[in-house]
Amino acid sequence: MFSMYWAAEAAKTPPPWLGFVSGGLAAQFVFVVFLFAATYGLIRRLQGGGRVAAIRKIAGLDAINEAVGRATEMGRPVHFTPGIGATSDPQSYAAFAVLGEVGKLTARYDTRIIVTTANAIMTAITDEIVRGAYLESGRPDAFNPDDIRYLSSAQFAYSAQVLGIFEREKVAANIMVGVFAAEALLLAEAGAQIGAIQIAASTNTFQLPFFVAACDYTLIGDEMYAASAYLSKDPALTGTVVAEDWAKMLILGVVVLGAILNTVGSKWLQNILNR
Amino acid sequence: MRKELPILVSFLFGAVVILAKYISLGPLPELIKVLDKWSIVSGAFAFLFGMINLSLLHGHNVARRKSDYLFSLYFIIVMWAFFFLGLYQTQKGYSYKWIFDNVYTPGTSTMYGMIAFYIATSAYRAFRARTMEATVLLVGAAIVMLGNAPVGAVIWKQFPVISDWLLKIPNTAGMRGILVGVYLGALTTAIRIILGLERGHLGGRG
Amino acid sequence: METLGIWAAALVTLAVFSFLYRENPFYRWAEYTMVALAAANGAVVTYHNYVKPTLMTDIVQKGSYSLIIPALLGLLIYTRYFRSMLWLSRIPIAYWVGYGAGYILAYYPATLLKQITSSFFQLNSINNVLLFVGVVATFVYFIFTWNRERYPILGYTASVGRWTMMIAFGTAFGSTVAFRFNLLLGRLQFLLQEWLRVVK
Repeated sequence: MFSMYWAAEAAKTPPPWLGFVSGGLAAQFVFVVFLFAATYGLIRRLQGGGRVAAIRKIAGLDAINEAVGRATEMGRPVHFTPGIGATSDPQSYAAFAVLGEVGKLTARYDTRIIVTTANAIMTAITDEIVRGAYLESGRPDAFNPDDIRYLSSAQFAYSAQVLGIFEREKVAANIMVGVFAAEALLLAEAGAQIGAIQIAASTNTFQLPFFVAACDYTLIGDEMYAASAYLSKDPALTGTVVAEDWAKMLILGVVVLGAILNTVGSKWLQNILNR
Repeated sequence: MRKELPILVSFLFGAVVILAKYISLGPLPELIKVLDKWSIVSGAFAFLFGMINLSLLHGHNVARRKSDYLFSLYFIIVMWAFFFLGLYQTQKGYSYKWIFDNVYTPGTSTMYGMIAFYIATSAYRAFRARTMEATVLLVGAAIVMLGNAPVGAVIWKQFPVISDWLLKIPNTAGMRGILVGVYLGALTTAIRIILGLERGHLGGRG
Repeated sequence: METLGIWAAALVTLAVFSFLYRENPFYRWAEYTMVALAAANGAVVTYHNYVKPTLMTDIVQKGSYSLIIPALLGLLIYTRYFRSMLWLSRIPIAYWVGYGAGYILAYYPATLLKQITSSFFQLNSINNVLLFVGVVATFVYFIFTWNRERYPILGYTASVGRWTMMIAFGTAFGSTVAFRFNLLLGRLQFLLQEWLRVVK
């Protein structure tokens, strides 16, 4: 009984070798270090000629080629939006990666791409990405800066113009990857009504249902973050996804162990993670 | 230099934020406040970038007499006039506030309200899809709607009970499972950015 | 002025609703107006709340000259409009994205750990066991690189997760409907009560 009490108390205070870590952050710090180390280790292994694990099939990402292809056949533009997020939103980074690949496809197929954003800085970044994609595909002169459009940072003013663009420009494919809030359904349903093939990705659990209902393909949650590795097939990027899966296995183990301990009345693991 | 400098800047500031948060040594914890402030100030000074982007786009439309060039002309005039009015009056000025409250706000609220129509059409779309997943989605939605509305309990007393259970158990479980993955994916993505593995946004291959 | 305001609001409201029929010049007018006002308003608010106080109060009055650095950093974004200097605009972008990524790694682990520890369900009731299975199965769905043919259990678990998510999405869909309809009713109420005054 005493030893259990002691173990519970010890679990609340961080060990001395983590004394330099700010209070209450020891477990978080160790986790971040683990994630960095796993990523670094895997990238090194892959660069040393190690085998690359394949990422399971993600239908929404395979469909990007189909979507751009369909737009090309119809001679109509592709619309891409990174949503209403900013440069501090991780979903925006996923959007950068997908946009880079979409940009390369539209450059190769000579299909027009319209990018709309709800954040001025995101406009500069998406301009950079599409410009880079066209340059890399050897078609820098086909890039049209007027098609990278900022439409105000107000979500519904933004949506109002996207709806207008859908109808006027006869968009054939609509790809939405990024931060979406209440405007998600407006964009997705308006896209469905003009018959565009639609691929959406979101981590917002309140908006995902609307994407699932109105879009042809929906990337759910973390599938969006695997996009860069999946689309580029870059070994180093794939390495980061493998590292993430190791972290997932660790978390899975922790959740199972935590549930068992909690069932028998021990808060030991919980205390360790909160210290 | 042109290629490396941005990657270095990204790495440096990213690393400093992380260290400042976790490590309680020397001036590190104070540094995070400085960087927070820098982030706000630098972002603020980019405040005209969006308006310039819009002016260029619509200016080109007018210069090339594109199909909607009169709308573009109208757009440029309204945007800059409203901007200078706000600069002069601040956002609390009478005319500025009048335009904002009587033109902008009703317009955007109506956009928000239009979602109700789209909920109906998207539900119908899912219904027509006739896939097993769409059916599960719609049945779940219907039960919760009936559970929330007084009419549901009149039809069958169990609707509110089932609806409540669906929201408490499968909804919580599904959302939690998604969120744990999402947070982890965000961390991995951030690591990719800091290590410079993804750099399409810096003009490099990403 | 108040009557004029109600008429202006009614006009914009009808213009936006007209999109439900089809895209038309009336809607386009509302659309361009909203974007123009929103873009200008964003800049006005940023100017009065951040740019002016930084320049006038922080730098000039308080002498915080170090803030000139981020101010210049922000101004570098405008080099995008000059081809020869375009590369300089990547420096503020690098700062914003690097800072953002650092911020994620600094602040997200706390939420992640909280999500994990709150999944330590006491397995002492059917509901708790179902919750636990639902969370674990959904989470397993997001394992990307472990071959499901080699570890069939992952495949089965992931499909339980997929169904759990579909039920979760359905219930989330259903629970937002009422709120969305209230917003629509709010607009209709404005048209009928304040503008047309046909309903009291």
